[in-house]
Amino acid sequence: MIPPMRSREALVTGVGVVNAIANDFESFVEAMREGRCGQRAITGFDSAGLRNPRACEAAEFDAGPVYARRDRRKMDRSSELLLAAFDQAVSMARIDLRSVESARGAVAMGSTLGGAVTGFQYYRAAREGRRRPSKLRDHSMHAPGYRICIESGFLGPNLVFSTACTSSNLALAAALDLVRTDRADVVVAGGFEPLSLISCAGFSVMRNVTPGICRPFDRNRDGLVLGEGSAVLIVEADDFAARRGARGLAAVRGYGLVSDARSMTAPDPTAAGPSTSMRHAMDMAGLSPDCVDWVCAHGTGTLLNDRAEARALRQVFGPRSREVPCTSIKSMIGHTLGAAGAMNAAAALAAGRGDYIPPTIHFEEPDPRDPVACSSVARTGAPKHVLSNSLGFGGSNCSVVIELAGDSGVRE
Amino acid sequence: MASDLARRVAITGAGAVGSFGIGTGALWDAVGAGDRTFASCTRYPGALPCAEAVKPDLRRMLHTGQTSRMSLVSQFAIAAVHLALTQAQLSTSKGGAGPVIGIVYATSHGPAATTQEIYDDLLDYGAAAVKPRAFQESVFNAPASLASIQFGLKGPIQVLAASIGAPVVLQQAQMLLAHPGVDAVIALCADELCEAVQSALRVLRWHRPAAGAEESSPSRTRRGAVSAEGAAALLLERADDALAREVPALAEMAGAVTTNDAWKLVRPAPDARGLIAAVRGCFADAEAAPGDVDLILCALSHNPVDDALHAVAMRSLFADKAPPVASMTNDIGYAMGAAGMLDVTLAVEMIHRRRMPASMDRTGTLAGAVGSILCTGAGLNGMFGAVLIREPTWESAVSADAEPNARIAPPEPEPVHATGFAGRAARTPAPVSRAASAARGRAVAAAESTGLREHLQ
Repeated sequence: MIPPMRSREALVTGVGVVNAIANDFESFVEAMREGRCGQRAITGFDSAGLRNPRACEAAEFDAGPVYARRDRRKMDRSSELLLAAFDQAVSMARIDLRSVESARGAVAMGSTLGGAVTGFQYYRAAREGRRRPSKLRDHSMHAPGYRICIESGFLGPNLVFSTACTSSNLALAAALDLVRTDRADVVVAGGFEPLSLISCAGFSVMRNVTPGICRPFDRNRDGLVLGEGSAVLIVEADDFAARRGARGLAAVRGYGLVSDARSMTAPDPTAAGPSTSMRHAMDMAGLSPDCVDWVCAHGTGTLLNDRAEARALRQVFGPRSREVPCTSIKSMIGHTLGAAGAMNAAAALAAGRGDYIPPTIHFEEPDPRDPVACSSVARTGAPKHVLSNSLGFGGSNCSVVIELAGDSGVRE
Repeated sequence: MASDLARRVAITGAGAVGSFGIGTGALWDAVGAGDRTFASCTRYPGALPCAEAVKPDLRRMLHTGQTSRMSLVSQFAIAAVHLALTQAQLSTSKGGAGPVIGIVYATSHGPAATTQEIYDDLLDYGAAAVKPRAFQESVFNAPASLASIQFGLKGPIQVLAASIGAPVVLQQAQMLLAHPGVDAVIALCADELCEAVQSALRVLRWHRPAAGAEESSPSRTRRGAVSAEGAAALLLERADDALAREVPALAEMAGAVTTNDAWKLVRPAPDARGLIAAVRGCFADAEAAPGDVDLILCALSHNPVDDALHAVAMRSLFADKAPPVASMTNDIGYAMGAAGMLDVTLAVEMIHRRRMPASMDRTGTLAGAVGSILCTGAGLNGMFGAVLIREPTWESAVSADAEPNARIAPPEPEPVHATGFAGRAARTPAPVSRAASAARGRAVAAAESTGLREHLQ
């Protein structure tokens, strides 16, 4: 049966993050305020033949604590990244996941190439005649989320979305749907993406990786820089959070999800898809464009993607598109593909924590054809309503509206 | 009644591709004919048995050659979607303001053969040798995105990696239909055979060994799954929308739930808690009871662990009153993430035809008595699901003078808790009368124009 939508709110009570500039949420708040750049030489694999041998690898990430808490059996890089962010989020939410009724706990994740590192290692060994079944244990994209189910005892759905760059915005949307349809009380939502040779090579031959640095929305932008990491949010129904006295740091208010239906690789130059997804998200949140305080953009730094997004912003916000603050955090952490939406959500929470609007580093000169209100340094501010965009490979567009809590929280 | 129909899900179109051929009629015939012999895949070396799908002739189906270079899994998906859209009498023209149709797609391995090609290029020639076209088609969402491009579908796209796809996509499709801005959803599952995946599944002792090896294997590995490939697509819409559009419902998708067992990687909980929770949740979703089920269709892998798990669950759920249990994987193999969806598609056909394939009802005792079918599945990493398909209880009638490919009339905006997809026009229900055969005739006529009559039997 089609479930009725209820008036339950989806509160975010905890967040965890690992990426090229931070290994936890508090350091993420400070790293973005400082405008730190995570781009460096790739160490995880041989970068020969790549258009850019530098990327935003989570090089300083130490998986030791993740293993120390568990059975120390080797796991895939995706699981390491995800569980590190998961541990942080649970700690911040101060939630005992085992206290959640098992059937009403769910996991919703997003990833584009999760498991690719292990899959490639297995294949290389198999070609050399060495069969390593242990490598197959968690190379599936749903394995990292299943690890969370095992640890939390959740018997609800373990969903992993893979719609390229929109994947983890979709996971947040699914969390909202699960809460509003009363099918879950708690959803562990987020995204994970390991830096892999396959993704670096693929984007390299498609020539949408910059040979230099990533300059989203700048007139001299020439491509993206790949990144890796994971971001996890604990999303709770407001009634559930209230029962345990938890404070909401933010609320997922609405989302829009539409398809360009035009091209696998190029965005629709009319920008109809992203503008529609933004409008749908605001409609669901019950907001007008005037209420949006900050746009946490997709902003990959490629010529066509940024142009399409800027045009969509102009269609949605009108003349205000030159004023409403806009940020692409990919200038700092790179493009984390399937985790990009969750990274944007974590950035929104970081902005709320630090009372600032994160910068778009390397942004120097606005594109005269499609100007947006970016700044290369952090701006002071206390944004309340954040519009987070994802524009995906294959023409999928997903926007999410996040309402940040003030000092007193969204709900006590 | 009206509000009840707005909550019920009508299946108005179905498409399938597999070793059995193209179309739900071919699936029916293959299952009706009974056991078949499996052979090794002709596309790559190796002796493991499999069920290789018939390659759809998309040039003939769609009158375009643009799809012929796509990965096979994308071709399977596009063919299945085309059949479902055609049967549901929905326009597939690009551009313009048509109904908002979403796609929810699940796959176990995605474009696996294309991924293997990229791995080979990386290992043999280095990073610069990866082919751009291969990379863009290696992403999991490629089949769904290419289908949206092919048919001009601008609604939401959700793509999920799932070892058992049917309950996942059907549950998510229900969720999308809860949004007033979505008129219909294509629930799609597809997977393709791949040398690397098939051999890896054998390494895990999940796959059946090659014929020669089987004789000398220990008894516990004698059985196992036979990999298959293909796609299945169902067109879902609200029952009141189907009535307003005057298209017959093939069946009702009454309930769909996906769960996991929170146990161990690659080893399911022996008490079948995940599957039991899925079936119970499915009954609750469908407002049904175990006694309502006439038949259980299990997506059995024939791996001893999975099969035993199903037995445990069925005993727990039905005790000694279990309805007949059937599985068609002996006939068509196990199509990975699409296996369960092929089961659901067969269940829809059974409901629509009001009978079972001969091979499943050898005694004839169930003929004409199948009104409610429970489809169950168990997948890797503790993923479980259950789907209940039943005869539509509403009046499935159509107007003799209804236009084929009529647009879906959008429902009224929700007065409270409006949750997005705004901008809908007011609904104008069309008159309802009994002329299902006329509409069926038009669907067949439309299919004939694309050379597909045999697929819409």
